[in-house]
Amino acid sequence: MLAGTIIVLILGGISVVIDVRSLALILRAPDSGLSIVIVDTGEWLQVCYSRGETSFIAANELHVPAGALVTIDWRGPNLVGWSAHDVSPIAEGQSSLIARDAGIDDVWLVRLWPAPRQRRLRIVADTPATFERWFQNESRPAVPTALAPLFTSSGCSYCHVIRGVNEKPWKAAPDLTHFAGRRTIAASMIPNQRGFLAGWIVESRALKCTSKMPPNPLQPAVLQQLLHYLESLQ
Amino acid sequence: MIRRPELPAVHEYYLLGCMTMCALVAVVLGVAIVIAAWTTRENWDRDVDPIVSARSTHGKELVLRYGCTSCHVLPLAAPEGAVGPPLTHIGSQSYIAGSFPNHEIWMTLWIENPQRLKPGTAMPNLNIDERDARDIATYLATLR
Repeated sequence: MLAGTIIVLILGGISVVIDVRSLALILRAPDSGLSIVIVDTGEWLQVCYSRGETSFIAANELHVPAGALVTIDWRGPNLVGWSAHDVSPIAEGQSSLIARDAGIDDVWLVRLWPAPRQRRLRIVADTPATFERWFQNESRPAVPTALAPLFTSSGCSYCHVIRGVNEKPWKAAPDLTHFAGRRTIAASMIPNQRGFLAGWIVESRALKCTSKMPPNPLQPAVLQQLLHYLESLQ
Repeated sequence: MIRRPELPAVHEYYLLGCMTMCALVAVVLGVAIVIAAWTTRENWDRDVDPIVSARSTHGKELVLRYGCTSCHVLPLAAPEGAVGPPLTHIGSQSYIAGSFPNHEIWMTLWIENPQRLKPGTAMPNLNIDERDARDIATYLATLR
């Protein structure tokens, strides 16, 4: 009885201290005015940023300014987010996120029911200046180049969107407008490098067996140019 | 008359020192030989140059880092792509890409810049520098 009481008191005390610390962080942090809607499509995450008049859609990697309050609106199943720094439930609806320092954190999105499954969400916290530069760049459509028609002619635009090249469809596959600026592909699982990217385009299921992207046996010359084009999307 | 302690003759001293030194040298050499043999025990049957084996180990890491396995099958715990030809026995093949003799020099050139060697091939240039390409070629040559 006494031992039980002591354990409950200690655990309660720890949780109160943690709550007070995070509360202090929330109260002191300035509001960045940024709200992010994350739509879980099952295989990948659609990330919609909006701040004031500016809003745009990106995918998979979550960029946030360090030290400021960000509103997250999760549209998807209830999960547990598990990272090196934090374990917290992720439920449908709005919540707040503060990244204390600049850096990269990989959060595992763990689901236990109906079938155990885990995916990865990469949170990139930038310093406010870097974030501002990233935000301004990301909100612009892609720079038109001579290789852009290749994106449409080789069939990518049936599922993917590059703002400035095609406008639809929105939810079939990740937005690729500033693809070269991303660190990873395949929902944050594979490094965004040419060798992986070429294999992914032609036969994505070799790299990720649950991938919905169909095989694309492109003409070799077309594949080379497409790689150049995707790498130019800064 | 004071009795001095009996000392061994000069040649006995000499003999003793020589034997001690010999034994020491023998032990040190023996230990060195055993250590050398133990560290290279994996190469006993293959007679592999330690430099070659270091390069091939590095090449193996690079193969995973550059994403070769996303298109080629290799005997590694990695995705098994079927985009390009399997490389499980590339070391015993005669030609690279059906066009070039399978020699380490050609393989290095091919890995560095496949588009220059065979314009229009599906394999992309991965911006691999010469040293890395050489190490990968060394690794591939071991896959017999």
